[in-house]
Parts: sequence; structure tokens; C-alpha cells
Amino acid sequence: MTLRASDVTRVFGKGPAAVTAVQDVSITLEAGEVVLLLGPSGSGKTTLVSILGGLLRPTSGTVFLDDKEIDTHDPSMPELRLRNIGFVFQTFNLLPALTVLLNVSLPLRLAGVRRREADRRAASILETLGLGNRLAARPDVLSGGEKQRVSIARALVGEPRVLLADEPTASLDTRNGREAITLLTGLAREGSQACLIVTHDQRLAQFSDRVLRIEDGVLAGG
Amino acid sequence: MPPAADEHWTAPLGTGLGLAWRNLTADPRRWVMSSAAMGIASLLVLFMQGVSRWVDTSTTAYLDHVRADVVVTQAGVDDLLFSQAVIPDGTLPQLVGVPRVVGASQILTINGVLSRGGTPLPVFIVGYPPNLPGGPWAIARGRSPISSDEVVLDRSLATNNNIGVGDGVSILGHNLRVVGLSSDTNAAGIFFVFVPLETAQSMAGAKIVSFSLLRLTPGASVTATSQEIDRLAGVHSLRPSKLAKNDLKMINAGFSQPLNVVIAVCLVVGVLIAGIVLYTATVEHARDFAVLKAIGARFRVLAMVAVGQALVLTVCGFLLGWAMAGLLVLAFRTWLPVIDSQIDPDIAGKMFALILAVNLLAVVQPLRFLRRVDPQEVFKA
Repeated sequence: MTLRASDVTRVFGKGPAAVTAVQDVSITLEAGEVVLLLGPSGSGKTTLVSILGGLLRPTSGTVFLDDKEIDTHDPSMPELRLRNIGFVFQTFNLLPALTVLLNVSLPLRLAGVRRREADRRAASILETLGLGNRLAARPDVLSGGEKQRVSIARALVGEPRVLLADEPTASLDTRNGREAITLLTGLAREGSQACLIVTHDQRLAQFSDRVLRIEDGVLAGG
Repeated sequence: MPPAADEHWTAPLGTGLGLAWRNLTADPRRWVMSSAAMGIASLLVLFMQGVSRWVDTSTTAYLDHVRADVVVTQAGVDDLLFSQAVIPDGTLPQLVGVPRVVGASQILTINGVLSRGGTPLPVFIVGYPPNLPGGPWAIARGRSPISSDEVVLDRSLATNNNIGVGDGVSILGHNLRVVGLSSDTNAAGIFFVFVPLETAQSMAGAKIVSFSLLRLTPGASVTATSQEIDRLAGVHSLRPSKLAKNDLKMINAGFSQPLNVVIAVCLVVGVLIAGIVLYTATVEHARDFAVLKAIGARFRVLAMVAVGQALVLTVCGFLLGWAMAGLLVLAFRTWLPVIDSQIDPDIAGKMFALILAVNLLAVVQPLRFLRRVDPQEVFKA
């Protein structure tokens, strides 16, 4: 077992205006497993990913990484996230001022890896993702597909235990979306990483080992 | 990612600095404008501090260079530049008889007016015995005056009024020929001119002396000698440094306050520029900071970006300002030498520290903003 959420609920606001985004969700992600979380817009997918990634504190319930409880108020939380969780975002979220190589080596540098080694490892994974000739490019000159591959490289470069991908194909055309999801799931399995892909696109089910559905904050088929 | 053997704590901070540089320079045009604005603020602070230093050094330059251990003047007079002193006639012969005194040079100082082509120019006339202490100590062009119709002018006064060696000038009704130009004799706008003592006395209309510059035997006690001189009628003695200090006090009473106000205004302008540039650079990259937080950057890395931005802006702006100040000083020395700015390395160092401290204050708002950045922003499309 790698990541486990137990009876997680998140409520935004108070009193009559309170909105329950996620309600009593329990979910387990095993190492090397690719899980697809399907749900329409506003169903609570992103809130759940935020909680699982340690970015948002649940109103109730707990999240464990192996046996360690994830607590967003814990001062060591950023370090825990840096070393154990990789994010892939819908809008890529590459830093525009940095080159492709620096974007990908960033998590390593933040973890304290010396520049030469960080660059070597970043270049290696970019080579694997077919971006070996784009190391010095800035994100604004890349295509959408290339940007998402850089984003995947950044998520994977630190060899995290868990990969959380939020709508990774939503900003891409069909061909680039398939390519990105193929790379993401392939590398996750290869690295024995637990991978949760959050999407509204049912066609991605074929890439997963298990499909969960969420609607109005409630999980079905966990 | 398990901790690796080659990890080092400086790597995240170095990354923060790198991000700071890239954030600030991402838009080259704005970067040029930001650093130019910071450069101009630095230029003004440096230039005005340099003026302040020049006022200090130039005011005391004469007394700093005069070869005297003790200066004797009229009782009650404690300065060189402002009081009109007269040493009683009968006292002068007694001065050379004071034990341990090995040499005396009598000088007469008069506040007068030099005219050339109808333009009156206020000057500080120093009459001294040629070949004895009390005259110009650095001749930039020409030579010292020897005969009674010769004069040496301060170089900046001469340059600013197109007067050269060989030209004729009139001082207090005396027609004199300029035989030399002296350096370092513009005492904060008080221009020294040097004439033989007899010429100065002729201008004063009396054979009077204002100061006597005494040299003592090597190792002699200045205090003991001064005590003996102070017993003489109508005079008292001071060390040259004491006289210089008194001059400086009076000069600074007029110069310091306005200079300090200008410097303070420049610093306020500087902090406003830094505040705007640093806050804008931070807010504009809010999403980048959210990404950094989401992937696991500690707050100290984000803080390093904000502080790094202040460092980068300060260093670049200051170096630019220093270079521009150097050019401005050169321009003043070439075209308007009546005022100077002496930007010594210690002034540059102190002003850099001051501007850096002020700019670091400007980081407070960006840091507060960074605290509030929500990493969940990364999920917004």
C-alpha cells in the first residue's frame, strides 16, 4: 500500500452557505497501480487530489502515505511532498522564465541535489520523453504536447512514490492526449509508482488498472 | 525521492536566487527601466554623499596642507575662513622668540572680490611670504607668485571664468597677472587666491598679519609652546586641526542639513522604486510561486526568491548608479568645476549597505504576499 485516504470529507464555508466538496471518501492507491478517477466538472475531483497531495487539509478523515499520516500543518509537509508526490496539471504549470531543463531539474534542486547531477537526471528523463533536443527551450515556444511531456518529466524526475495527474489531457488534442497518457502510465508502471489520474474523459479508462467514479463529492466503485 | 549523498542545503537557496534573477529579467525592457530607476536613485545618493565628503575635505584642505605645528592668531578668533583677524604689531617679534619655535610664516587673509571683464567674483585672498609655508601646495599649471603683481588662482575658479595663466585680473583695485593655477583650493565654494604678503597688505591698506604659522623643533610639546604663546598680549594659539574643525563646523551648519534632506529624499524614492518593482515582480509570478509551493518548495526558498530579487535589483541598480555618478562627477569637473563630489570607496560601500538595507525593507510586502499564495492555484485552468 502506498497512499490511503480514510473517510475524507471537505466542507467549504460555514453555516447555511457551507458546501461539501468531498464526502466520506476512502481510497487506496497501490504501488505500480494506475487508477482513473472519473467525474464531471464540480464533482470534487480536484478537491480530492488536493487533499491526497497534501495541499488541502480535510475537514475530517485522514490520509496516509504508507503508515505516515499526511498533515498539511506539519512543517515537514513540503519536504514530504517534494520527495514522495509528483503532480501533473491540466495547464502544465511550467515556469515561463526557466528553460525546459531547469523546469524539470527544479524538484531535484529544491531537494538539495547539486546542479550537475540534477541536470544530468533531468536531461536523461527528457531524452526518454523525446525532448532531448528541447533542453534549452523556454516553455512559450513548446507545443501543448511538448509542454505536457515536460510537466510529466518534472513530476517523475524525483522518482516519487505517488503521481497525481489532474486532467492531464484536457488541454491537448486527441493525438497528443493519448501520447501523454501513454507515457505517463507507462513510466508510472515502470517505476512502480502509484498513479491517480483525475479526468472527465472516459476514453482514458483503457489506460488504467481501475476506474473510480465521483459525483457530488461521493465516491462510487472504490 | 530518497535523500541522495550529493545533496546540499545550498542548492535550494541557489535555485531561489536563480529564480529571482530570471523573474526580474524576464521582461528585458521593464528590467532595463527598473534598474535604471534604481540606478538614478543610487546616483543621487552617491553624488550627494560625495558632495558632502568634498565639502568636508575641501574646507580643511588649506590647514591640512599648511606646514605648521601651531597657528597663532588674534585672541578670540578660532577659525580661518570667516573671521577677519589681526595680530597685534608688537607680538610678532615675540613669537619667534618663544622657545622651541624654529620658523614662522606670517599670512594675511582677506575676503575680497576679483573682477575680470566686469564680473565680480568673491575670493579668499591669502597673502604669504613666497618660499615660506602658507601658499598653494599643489600648482596645476604655472608657478607660485614671486613679485607683487602676481597671483595664483584656484583652478576651478579660473576654469569656470575662462581665466588662464598669463591673463590679467583685478583684485581690490590691484591689477595682477595670473602666473599659476592651484589645485584643491576650492573650499566648498570659497575660492582661494594667493598673492605675496606685501600685495595682500597693500590691498588691506595696512601692514597687518592675520595668522602666524609656527614650526617647532622636532618632538617639541605643542601644548607647552601654546601655553607660552597664550601668555602673550592679544593672541592665542591653536593646532591647525582645531582651526580646521571650527571652519568645518561653520560650513556644515549651512551645507549639511539641505544635503541630508536631499539624500533622505533620494533614499525614500529608492525604496518606493524597489517596493514597486519587487512587489510587481512577485505578484506577477504568483502562479509560479503556487507551483513551487505545490511541488514542495519550503517557504525559505520562496523568501530567497523575494530577497534575491532585492539583491539583484540593488547590485545592478547600484553599479549602474555608481557608473553614472562617476560620469556626472567627470562632467562637473569638466564643465562646472565650482562644485565637486568625492565618491570615495568607503562612501560607495556605506551607501551600498544603506540602499541594500532599505531595499530589503521593501521585501516585507512581497514576503507577506508569498505567505498567502495558495498552492491550490495550480489546479485552476
